[in-house]
Amino acid sequence: MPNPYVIEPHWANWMLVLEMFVAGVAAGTFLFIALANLATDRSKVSATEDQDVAARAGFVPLPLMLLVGLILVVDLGQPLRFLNIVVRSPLAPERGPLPLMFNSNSPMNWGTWVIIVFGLFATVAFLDALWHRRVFRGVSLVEALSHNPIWLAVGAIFALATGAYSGVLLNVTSQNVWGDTFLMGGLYVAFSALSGMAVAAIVADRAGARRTAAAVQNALFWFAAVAGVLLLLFVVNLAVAGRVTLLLADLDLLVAPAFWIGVVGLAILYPLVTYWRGGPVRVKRTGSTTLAVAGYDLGRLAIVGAGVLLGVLAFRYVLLFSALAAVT
Amino acid sequence: MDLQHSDAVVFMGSNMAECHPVGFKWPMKAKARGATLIHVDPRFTRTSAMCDYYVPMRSGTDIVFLGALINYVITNNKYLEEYVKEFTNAATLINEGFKDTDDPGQDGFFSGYNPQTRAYERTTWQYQTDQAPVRVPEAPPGQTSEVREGQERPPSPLPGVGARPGQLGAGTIVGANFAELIANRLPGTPKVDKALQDKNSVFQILKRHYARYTPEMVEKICGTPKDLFLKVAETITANSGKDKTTAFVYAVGWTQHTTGVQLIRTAGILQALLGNIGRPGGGIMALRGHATIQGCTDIATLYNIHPGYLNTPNANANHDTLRDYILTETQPTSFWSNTPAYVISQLRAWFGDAGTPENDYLYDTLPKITADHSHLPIFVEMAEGKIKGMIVTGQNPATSINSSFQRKAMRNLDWMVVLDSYETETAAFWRDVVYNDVDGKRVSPKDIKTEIFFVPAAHIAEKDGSMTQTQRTVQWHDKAADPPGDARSDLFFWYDLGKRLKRRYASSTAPRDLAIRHMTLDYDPAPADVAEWKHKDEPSAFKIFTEINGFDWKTKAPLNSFASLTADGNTACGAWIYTGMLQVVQGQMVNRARMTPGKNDGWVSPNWGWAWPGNRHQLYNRASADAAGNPWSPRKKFTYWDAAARTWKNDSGEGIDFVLTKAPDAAANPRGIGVAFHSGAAPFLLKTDGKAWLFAPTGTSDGPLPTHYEPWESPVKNLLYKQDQNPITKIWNVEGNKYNEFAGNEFPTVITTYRLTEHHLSGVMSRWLPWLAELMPELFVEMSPEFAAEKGITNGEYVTVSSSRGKTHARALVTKRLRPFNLDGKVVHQVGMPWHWGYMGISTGDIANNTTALVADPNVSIHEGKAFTCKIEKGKV
Amino acid sequence: MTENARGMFVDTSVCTGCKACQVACKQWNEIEPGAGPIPMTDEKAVVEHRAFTGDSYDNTGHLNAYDWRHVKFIEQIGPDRSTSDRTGARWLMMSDSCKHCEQAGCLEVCPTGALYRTQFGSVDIHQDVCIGCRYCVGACPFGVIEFNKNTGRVNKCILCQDRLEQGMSTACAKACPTSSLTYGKVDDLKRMAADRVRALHARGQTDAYIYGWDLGNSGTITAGPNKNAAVKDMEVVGGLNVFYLLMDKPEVYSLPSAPSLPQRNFAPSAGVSLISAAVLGVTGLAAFRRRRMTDAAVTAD
Repeated sequence: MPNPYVIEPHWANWMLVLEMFVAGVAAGTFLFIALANLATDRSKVSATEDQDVAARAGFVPLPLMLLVGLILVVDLGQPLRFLNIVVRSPLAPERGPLPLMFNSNSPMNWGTWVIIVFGLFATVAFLDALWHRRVFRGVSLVEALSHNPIWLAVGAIFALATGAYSGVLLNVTSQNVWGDTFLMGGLYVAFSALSGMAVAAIVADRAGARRTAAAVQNALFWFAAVAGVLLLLFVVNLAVAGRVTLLLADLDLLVAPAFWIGVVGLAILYPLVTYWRGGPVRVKRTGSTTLAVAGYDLGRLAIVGAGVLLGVLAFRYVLLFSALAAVT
Repeated sequence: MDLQHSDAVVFMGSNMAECHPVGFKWPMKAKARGATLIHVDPRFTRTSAMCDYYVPMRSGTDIVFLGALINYVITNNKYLEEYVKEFTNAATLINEGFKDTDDPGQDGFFSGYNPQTRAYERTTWQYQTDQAPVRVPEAPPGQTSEVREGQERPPSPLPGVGARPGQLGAGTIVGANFAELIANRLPGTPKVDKALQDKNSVFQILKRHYARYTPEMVEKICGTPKDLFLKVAETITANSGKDKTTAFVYAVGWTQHTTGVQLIRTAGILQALLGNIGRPGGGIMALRGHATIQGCTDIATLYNIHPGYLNTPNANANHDTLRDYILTETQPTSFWSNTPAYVISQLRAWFGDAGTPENDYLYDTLPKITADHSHLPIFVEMAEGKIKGMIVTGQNPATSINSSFQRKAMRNLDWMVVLDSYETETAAFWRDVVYNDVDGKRVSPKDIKTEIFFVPAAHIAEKDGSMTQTQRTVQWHDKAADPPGDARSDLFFWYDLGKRLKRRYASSTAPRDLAIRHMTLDYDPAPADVAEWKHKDEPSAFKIFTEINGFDWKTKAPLNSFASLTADGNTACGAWIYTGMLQVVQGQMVNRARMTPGKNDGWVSPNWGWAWPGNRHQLYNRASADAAGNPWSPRKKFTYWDAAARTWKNDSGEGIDFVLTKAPDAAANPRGIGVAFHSGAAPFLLKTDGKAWLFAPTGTSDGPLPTHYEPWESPVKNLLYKQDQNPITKIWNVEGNKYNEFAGNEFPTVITTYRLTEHHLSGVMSRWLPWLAELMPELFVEMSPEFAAEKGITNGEYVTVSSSRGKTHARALVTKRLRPFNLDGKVVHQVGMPWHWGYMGISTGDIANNTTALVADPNVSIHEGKAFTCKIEKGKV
Repeated sequence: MTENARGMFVDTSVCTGCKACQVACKQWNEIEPGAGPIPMTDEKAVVEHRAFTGDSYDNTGHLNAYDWRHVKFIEQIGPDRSTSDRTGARWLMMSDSCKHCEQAGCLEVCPTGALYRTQFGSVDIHQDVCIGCRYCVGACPFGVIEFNKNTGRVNKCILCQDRLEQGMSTACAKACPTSSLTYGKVDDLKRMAADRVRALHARGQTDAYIYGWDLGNSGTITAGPNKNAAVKDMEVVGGLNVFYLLMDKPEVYSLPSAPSLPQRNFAPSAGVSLISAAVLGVTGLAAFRRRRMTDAAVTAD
């Protein structure tokens, strides 16, 4: 039974679906970049391949985060005042005395600062990508940072926070579905990581980096599994709260179809099944500690990645619009 | 405010919480103190929600309900015996020739009915009296009277003796000794039977008259469950008597019937039997609604009353000269014995020094009415093309009773002036948004030859003036801002028109111009009194206020009391009831109508505004003490006689409605003039015998006792009498006013009209305001789910309400607050519609009055919008 | 609780549904009206503008950016129409608005400080600061605050902050003819409310109780569909500075019987996020790290 007492906050719109999707992709891609640099194989070829793919992927987070920022500002009722969320307006003295705006009770404030800091990491990644293309050779600090494990780890943390905060934000409301659970932060970060790995799949495949592709395929499977477990827990949580039909059976606004086909089908089952059936990158054991790429269906991993991205987009749609479907 | 002291309040013919929400706080205070609130109504309304219980009753059957309560009170000996014997005319004997509606052969008629004239001759309704006091010879008009011993009694003055009607200079009152003339008209003392046993006594007549008004009849006619009716009876009798009082509250749910006056009288009888009149928390509260509607009635909005309730000179009455008028109108044995002073002071105010005793103070220049000139017959004449022009101020006939008829009638006018703040439906009756429901065609402006002048009017805060509300309290208000543009007060319009006409007639000698030529019209304000920011052309409302109050003609000093008014032309007074709202206190003039309540003003709040007459809020409050002058009980102590001080007192600051120094045991004086005729135990000063009239020998044209007749349009026949409808109902069998067949099949549904809190009247003041329009945006008709199911109507869809006059489209509001009535085995449905809508404004809608008929109460010509019949159909037909 | 907090006591037992409060609020705050008439079938219009709803005498529908007060009407009349005692037929009326909660969901999520707690304990809006993010709209458990499409900001009852600063009462309380709405110090109002409930219980109206604070009253619903249900006073979201005397269960008045602050989800959600992030990090590292990939032996496709 839907909660009938609330007003839908006008967040169920395509711009915000896109924003959440894009932010998740940006964050997830950075996570991939960090993982690729941190967990890369010491073997020379793999390492080069990994770093090359990571560097290509480095082009992704910054433009997407700029788009995120733009959408978030444009979506506001008063876009020109967007700085009030960062710099405390003198007309709001009660939140003082610091000149910067931070309401520790508001996930939106947490999130704002998180994505600002993450933006810094995305910028460095972008510059690094340019460096690798020999377009920009300006600051050698960029290269140093981009491969520094501490920088990457911290960046990964902010990337994960970026991926998670929207879910926490939605949880801290009274809305149907969103407010009925506290699992959405985890759910969001899982799907964010999944979408990032899907991007990596596309980039690796297009670059023909077989060894990186093998690793990405592996990670894609595991992230899909984690996301799948969290999704299941989420559904159970909703069932306990009595709101699960909103997700599973509500034809209003096509929420249920998008859930089953997009989220469960494309985002979760597709990569799992693909991997279980051997995956586009076939790996075989060549020694006790060595593997080799035994077969590689060029282009297929990219398709899986694209499918997963579509599924994650559907996920963003379902989560946002399910609250709207409940009140209309 | 007095309602807070009631022990029980019955709301009937009223939806007080809905229509008087602010005043409703007083019954709520009573409730907080433990009072029982009861709502009797065809619909469960916002008032019902606040009451302890709700009693359903079919529209138009109130006399049965109230009459059954009277029967219950008498049968079960629940009346306050001493009150009934001493303060009412229960003991008085009626003419032996009187025949009641139940007497053999009467079939629901009283004696004296003339079927040709459709009127009652009232001789058999009169009191039996002792011999009248000896008359003394009177001098002819124009001569001083002398009492001469042994002289023969001259013939009584005939109309026109010594003067021709309408001729100026009649001087019929020169030298008149009114005291003597009035003394010559004293009636005999009424005969009484204090034991209340004589079969001709009012009490026994009353008992017989209501004997068939039983709880079973209530169930069959009103549709009220018997046990609920008995619960009401038990509640009000338990809460009346020496220790407790019950109040009745009514509004247009009682007035707008062809038996309206009688209906209200039934409650008056009931309350008098219970001893509730004149007592704190008792009485009958008449809830009038429009702002200053009471003030309007007091100051001549009605065609047949001059200010202060003096009858308009009438060509069909003995009013030919001033002397005739005074002698006809003056009641020798009640407070109206002062009529000469009231009339002459009024004429002095109107004509100033141009009026002299020799020219009868210009009485002859006043027009005389010749017939019923109230709203409905005027429009019938307009439809016949007899009326050429009309000035409409603050009224909206285009949405009024049988509105298609009225709109069509207006097309016959050559000219029309509309004074209002918005373009009303009337001002716009020529527009092509208007349908004529009678012929179903849209109005075409080119077919209408009426020239229309729209004069923008100021709103309340934009003009000075006073308001008198339903409890007779007058309050002064100052304007807060000028009206915009050319808008001016209504006062400005009439004053300016008057001045222009005076100029036009300045040298005229035509008799019909003389009144205007000679009338005093000197209300220009002193320039010093007009603040810089105000419009300079508005007249001084305060000067008019002063004239209404009355002043000494020579010194121009305001008078403090109507007792100061004289018949010798030395006082001027617009309306005697208002004398005293200006007071001269220690040389200073005080305007009592300005609110100046102090902290210790008490619950009566005598300093909050000023109530006429004489700042008396609870009329007849002598009745709050018993015959000996002692309070009925400590709990209900109000007005009482202080034997030591030899004066009446009231500790709550209330004005005492009695002669202050007249002892309670003062004997009646058969030769006393005015209230001297009454004993000290006669609280009802305006009645000839000083008693509450359970039986009304005069004053009502359709019977001395209220009798149940079905509304003019009803789905069922009268179960009590053979005569179905009020036999002397005013009806107009003219084209466009066809009546639904009585108890017919085509229009089987009872319908009533009513108001909502959110809107006002025809919506001129509310449907143009967005904040109100959005609260109730559309016309709807309320109906029970049973009725809706029968017709296949769903909540919210459009339906058509129709009668023989026209139809209205409205939304259906299906609610269990309405119910079907089981009337003696037949299921009759009732619906209801608010009547606020019209085709102008932000929120527009069909006009409810498309369905009502021109039909009226015979006493006061009020229509029957509260109970008629209709047909409901699904969809827009 | 704010020292000397001000608020309102809404005694629905004396509400006559006159809507003077709605009009007074609009007039004082100069709120533009949404004028009708619009067909009832246009649901969007019913919500956004005023149209005939067919819902008893309530054509406002819901609190929103233009209606900061909303009078609700609940008809409770049995099919047999028995009215022999007061409990047989009822028409409940209630004037709803922002509750100025002691723990206000809207206030806690506002990222710009536009929503703030005033010196009177009420929740006001700095219209010059609000960026229109609509977080508060999603956070209010009662569905009170709403986004104003014309101004791009949010609106709700602000307890007439400008009037309170001048020592006046709220506009709605001033207009209310039966004192159903009373403005004052919350402590005083609580005493008044407790007395009122006791007085009603003494008169046999045992269905009265307080929604917003627990003043120790316990009632039994004696009418309506929940006849014989026992209802105690209930404190919700830390207490409501605008609190109600109700005559039936909260759901009957479209009020939640167990509203909770969205903040209750913050820590758990953040915690789960942390755990999930850690799991993803570890999983990613493990999934990504491989055993040595040999340079050679890459079989052709």
